[in-house]
Amino acid sequence: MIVVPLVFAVLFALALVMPVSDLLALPEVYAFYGIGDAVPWAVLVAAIATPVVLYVLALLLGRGRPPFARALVFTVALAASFALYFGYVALVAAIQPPITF
Amino acid sequence: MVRSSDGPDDELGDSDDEALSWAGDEEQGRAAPRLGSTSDEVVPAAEPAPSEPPGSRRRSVVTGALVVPYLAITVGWILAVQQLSSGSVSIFTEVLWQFGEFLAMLAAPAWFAATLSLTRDSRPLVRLGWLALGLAVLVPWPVILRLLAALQTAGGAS
Repeated sequence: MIVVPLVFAVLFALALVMPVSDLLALPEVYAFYGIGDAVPWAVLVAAIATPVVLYVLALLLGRGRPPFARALVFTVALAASFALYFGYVALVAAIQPPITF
Repeated sequence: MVRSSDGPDDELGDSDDEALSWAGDEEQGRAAPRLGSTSDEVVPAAEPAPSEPPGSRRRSVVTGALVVPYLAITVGWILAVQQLSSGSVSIFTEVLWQFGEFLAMLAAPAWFAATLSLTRDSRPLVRLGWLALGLAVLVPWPVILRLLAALQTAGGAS
Protein backbone atom coordinates (compact mmCIF):
# COMPACT_ATOMS: atom_id res chain seq x y z
CA MET A 1 0.00 0.00 0.00
CA ILE A 2 1.93 2.94 -1.35
CA VAL A 3 -1.06 5.30 -1.58
CA VAL A 4 -1.06 6.44 2.05
CA PRO A 5 2.66 7.33 2.17
CA LEU A 6 2.35 9.10 -1.18
CA VAL A 7 -0.64 11.22 -0.14
CA PHE A 8 1.09 12.18 3.09
CA ALA A 9 4.33 12.90 1.24
CA VAL A 10 2.43 15.65 -0.61
CA LEU A 11 0.97 16.97 2.65
CA PHE A 12 4.37 16.95 4.34
CA ALA A 13 5.77 18.77 1.32
CA LEU A 14 3.15 21.46 1.93
CA ALA A 15 4.29 21.56 5.56
CA LEU A 16 7.79 22.35 4.21
CA VAL A 17 6.67 25.38 2.20
CA MET A 18 6.55 27.83 5.10
CA PRO A 19 9.85 26.80 6.75
CA VAL A 20 11.67 27.00 3.40
CA SER A 21 10.08 30.36 2.72
CA ASP A 22 11.23 31.54 6.15
CA LEU A 23 14.77 30.33 5.51
CA LEU A 24 14.90 32.26 2.26
CA ALA A 25 13.22 35.45 3.42
CA LEU A 26 14.17 35.93 7.06
CA PRO A 27 17.92 36.60 6.58
CA GLU A 28 17.10 39.34 4.09
CA VAL A 29 14.57 40.89 6.44
CA TYR A 30 17.02 40.76 9.34
CA ALA A 31 19.74 42.28 7.15
CA PHE A 32 17.39 45.05 6.07
CA TYR A 33 16.71 45.97 9.70
CA GLY A 34 20.38 45.83 10.61
CA ILE A 35 20.21 42.69 12.73
CA GLY A 36 21.68 40.33 10.15
CA ASP A 37 24.00 38.81 12.74
CA ALA A 38 21.05 37.62 14.80
CA VAL A 39 19.49 35.31 12.23
CA PRO A 40 18.35 32.21 14.15
CA TRP A 41 19.89 29.71 11.76
CA ALA A 42 19.48 26.75 14.10
CA VAL A 43 15.75 27.34 14.46
CA LEU A 44 15.30 27.86 10.72
CA VAL A 45 17.11 24.63 9.92
CA ALA A 46 15.21 22.76 12.64
CA ALA A 47 11.95 24.01 11.17
CA ILE A 48 12.89 22.47 7.83
CA ALA A 49 14.22 19.25 9.32
CA THR A 50 11.18 18.61 11.52
CA PRO A 51 8.65 17.61 8.80
CA VAL A 52 11.25 15.42 7.10
CA VAL A 53 12.19 13.64 10.31
CA LEU A 54 8.55 13.19 11.34
CA TYR A 55 7.63 11.82 7.92
CA VAL A 56 10.40 9.22 8.12
CA LEU A 57 9.42 8.31 11.69
CA ALA A 58 5.76 7.92 10.69
CA LEU A 59 6.80 5.81 7.72
CA LEU A 60 8.80 3.51 9.99
CA LEU A 61 6.17 3.36 12.74
CA GLY A 62 3.37 2.60 10.31
CA ARG A 63 5.22 -0.16 8.51
CA GLY A 64 3.30 -3.44 8.57
CA ARG A 65 0.14 -1.82 9.92
CA PRO A 66 -3.23 -1.66 8.12
CA PRO A 67 -3.86 1.43 5.95
CA PHE A 68 -6.09 3.16 8.49
CA ALA A 69 -3.49 2.83 11.24
CA ARG A 70 -0.80 4.10 8.86
CA ALA A 71 -2.95 7.10 7.95
CA LEU A 72 -3.54 7.76 11.65
CA VAL A 73 0.18 7.73 12.39
CA PHE A 74 0.88 10.05 9.44
CA THR A 75 -1.91 12.43 10.51
CA VAL A 76 -0.51 12.69 14.02
CA ALA A 77 2.98 13.27 12.65
CA LEU A 78 1.73 15.97 10.27
CA ALA A 79 -0.21 17.69 13.05
CA ALA A 80 2.83 17.53 15.34
CA SER A 81 4.94 18.94 12.53
CA PHE A 82 2.71 22.01 12.18
CA ALA A 83 2.50 22.43 15.95
CA LEU A 84 6.28 22.37 16.21
CA TYR A 85 6.56 24.85 13.33
CA PHE A 86 4.32 27.32 15.16
CA GLY A 87 6.49 26.78 18.21
CA TYR A 88 9.56 27.73 16.14
CA VAL A 89 7.76 30.82 14.83
CA ALA A 90 6.97 31.90 18.38
CA LEU A 91 10.56 31.21 19.44
CA VAL A 92 11.98 33.29 16.59
CA ALA A 93 9.70 36.16 17.54
CA ALA A 94 10.69 35.84 21.19
CA ILE A 95 14.45 35.88 20.61
CA GLN A 96 14.42 38.53 17.92
CA PRO A 97 16.55 41.49 19.00
CA PRO A 98 14.86 44.89 19.15
CA ILE A 99 14.90 46.75 15.84
CA THR A 100 16.45 50.22 15.99
CA PHE A 101 16.50 52.73 13.18
CA MET B 1 -39.16 -54.07 35.09
CA VAL B 2 -37.54 -52.10 37.88
CA ARG B 3 -40.48 -51.61 40.16
CA SER B 4 -43.63 -53.52 40.55
CA SER B 5 -46.79 -51.59 40.03
CA ASP B 6 -49.22 -51.47 42.96
CA GLY B 7 -52.24 -50.13 41.15
CA PRO B 8 -53.56 -48.58 37.97
CA ASP B 9 -52.53 -45.04 39.13
CA ASP B 10 -48.89 -45.98 39.16
CA GLU B 11 -48.91 -47.58 35.76
CA LEU B 12 -48.15 -44.41 33.83
CA GLY B 13 -45.35 -43.38 36.18
CA ASP B 14 -43.85 -46.81 36.21
CA SER B 15 -43.86 -47.06 32.45
CA ASP B 16 -42.00 -43.70 32.32
CA ASP B 17 -39.47 -44.96 34.84
CA GLU B 18 -38.99 -48.15 32.90
CA ALA B 19 -38.36 -46.20 29.76
CA LEU B 20 -35.60 -44.32 31.59
CA SER B 21 -34.00 -47.38 33.22
CA TRP B 22 -31.91 -50.21 31.99
CA ALA B 23 -31.90 -53.78 33.12
CA GLY B 24 -29.22 -54.30 35.73
CA ASP B 25 -29.32 -50.75 37.07
CA GLU B 26 -30.42 -51.97 40.49
CA GLU B 27 -27.39 -54.21 40.77
CA GLN B 28 -25.21 -51.22 39.99
CA GLY B 29 -26.91 -49.11 42.66
CA ARG B 30 -28.97 -47.06 40.26
CA ALA B 31 -32.48 -47.30 41.59
CA ALA B 32 -33.62 -43.98 40.16
CA PRO B 33 -34.29 -43.37 36.49
CA ARG B 34 -31.27 -42.18 34.54
CA LEU B 35 -33.14 -39.15 33.28
CA GLY B 36 -35.85 -37.11 34.90
CA SER B 37 -34.03 -36.20 38.06
CA THR B 38 -36.46 -35.14 40.76
CA SER B 39 -34.02 -33.03 42.70
CA ASP B 40 -34.32 -29.25 42.38
CA GLU B 41 -30.63 -28.73 42.88
CA VAL B 42 -29.32 -25.74 41.06
CA VAL B 43 -25.98 -26.43 39.55
CA PRO B 44 -23.77 -23.45 40.21
CA ALA B 45 -22.70 -21.72 37.05
CA ALA B 46 -19.06 -21.84 36.20
CA GLU B 47 -17.01 -18.82 37.19
CA PRO B 48 -17.21 -16.26 34.40
CA ALA B 49 -13.94 -15.78 32.64
CA PRO B 50 -12.37 -12.41 33.38
CA SER B 51 -13.35 -10.09 30.55
CA GLU B 52 -10.41 -7.72 31.05
CA PRO B 53 -6.89 -8.82 30.33
CA PRO B 54 -4.37 -8.48 33.14
CA GLY B 55 -2.91 -4.99 33.44
CA SER B 56 -5.87 -3.29 31.81
CA ARG B 57 -6.88 -1.61 35.06
CA ARG B 58 -3.44 -0.07 35.42
CA ARG B 59 -3.60 1.02 31.81
CA SER B 60 -6.96 2.67 32.38
CA VAL B 61 -5.58 4.56 35.36
CA VAL B 62 -2.61 5.76 33.31
CA THR B 63 -4.87 6.85 30.48
CA GLY B 64 -7.31 8.62 32.77
CA ALA B 65 -4.55 10.50 34.56
CA LEU B 66 -3.25 11.92 31.29
CA VAL B 67 -6.60 13.11 29.95
CA VAL B 68 -6.37 16.42 31.83
CA PRO B 69 -2.88 17.39 30.58
CA TYR B 70 -3.92 16.58 27.02
CA LEU B 71 -7.05 18.70 27.41
CA ALA B 72 -4.89 21.53 28.75
CA ILE B 73 -2.56 21.25 25.75
CA THR B 74 -5.52 21.31 23.38
CA VAL B 75 -6.86 24.46 25.03
CA GLY B 76 -3.35 25.90 24.89
CA TRP B 77 -3.17 25.39 21.14
CA ILE B 78 -6.64 26.85 20.64
CA LEU B 79 -5.41 29.96 22.44
CA ALA B 80 -2.12 29.89 20.55
CA VAL B 81 -3.67 29.99 17.10
CA GLN B 82 -5.60 33.13 18.11
CA GLN B 83 -2.28 34.91 18.61
CA LEU B 84 -0.53 33.67 15.49
CA SER B 85 -0.75 35.33 12.11
CA SER B 86 0.92 34.43 8.83
CA GLY B 87 1.54 38.06 7.94
CA SER B 88 1.36 37.09 4.30
CA VAL B 89 -0.75 38.52 1.52
CA SER B 90 -0.48 35.34 -0.54
CA ILE B 91 -3.72 33.39 -0.51
CA PHE B 92 -1.79 30.10 -0.80
CA THR B 93 0.30 30.86 2.27
CA GLU B 94 -2.76 32.01 4.17
CA VAL B 95 -4.69 28.81 3.37
CA LEU B 96 -1.66 26.72 4.31
CA TRP B 97 -1.31 28.67 7.56
CA GLN B 98 -4.98 28.09 8.43
CA PHE B 99 -4.64 24.41 7.62
CA GLY B 100 -1.59 24.23 9.87
CA GLU B 101 -3.43 25.98 12.70
CA PHE B 102 -6.30 23.53 12.39
CA LEU B 103 -3.91 20.60 12.57
CA ALA B 104 -2.03 22.15 15.50
CA MET B 105 -5.29 22.34 17.45
CA LEU B 106 -6.02 18.75 16.49
CA ALA B 107 -2.54 17.47 17.32
CA ALA B 108 -3.03 16.66 21.00
CA PRO B 109 -6.38 14.83 20.71
CA ALA B 110 -5.10 13.01 17.62
CA TRP B 111 -1.94 11.91 19.43
CA PHE B 112 -4.00 10.74 22.41
CA ALA B 113 -6.49 8.81 20.27
CA ALA B 114 -3.77 7.28 18.11
CA THR B 115 -1.83 6.15 21.18
CA LEU B 116 -4.94 4.57 22.67
CA SER B 117 -5.76 2.88 19.40
CA LEU B 118 -2.30 1.63 18.52
CA THR B 119 -1.16 0.51 21.98
CA ARG B 120 -4.29 -1.51 22.75
CA ASP B 121 -2.30 -4.72 23.08
CA SER B 122 0.84 -3.17 24.50
CA ARG B 123 2.08 -3.00 28.07
CA PRO B 124 0.90 -0.04 30.21
CA LEU B 125 4.43 1.34 30.28
CA VAL B 126 4.56 1.53 26.49
CA ARG B 127 1.30 3.48 26.41
CA LEU B 128 2.52 5.76 29.18
CA GLY B 129 5.73 6.38 27.28
CA TRP B 130 3.96 7.39 24.08
CA LEU B 131 1.51 9.61 25.96
CA ALA B 132 4.35 11.29 27.86
CA LEU B 133 6.24 11.84 24.60
CA GLY B 134 3.14 13.51 23.17
CA LEU B 135 2.98 15.87 26.13
CA ALA B 136 6.62 16.79 25.62
CA VAL B 137 6.35 17.33 21.86
CA LEU B 138 3.07 19.20 21.76
CA VAL B 139 3.77 21.87 24.37
CA PRO B 140 1.95 25.04 23.16
CA TRP B 141 5.09 27.19 23.03
CA PRO B 142 3.39 30.27 21.51
CA VAL B 143 1.19 30.61 24.60
CA ILE B 144 3.95 29.81 27.05
CA LEU B 145 6.42 32.23 25.44
CA ARG B 146 3.77 34.96 25.37
CA LEU B 147 3.03 34.29 29.02
CA LEU B 148 6.71 34.45 29.93
CA ALA B 149 7.10 37.71 28.00
CA ALA B 150 4.08 39.18 29.78
CA LEU B 151 5.46 38.12 33.15
CA GLN B 152 8.84 39.64 32.28
CA THR B 153 7.19 42.89 31.23
CA ALA B 154 5.12 42.93 34.41
CA GLY B 155 8.24 42.23 36.48
CA GLY B 156 10.16 45.00 34.73
CA ALA B 157 7.33 47.50 35.19
CA SER B 158 6.97 46.88 38.94
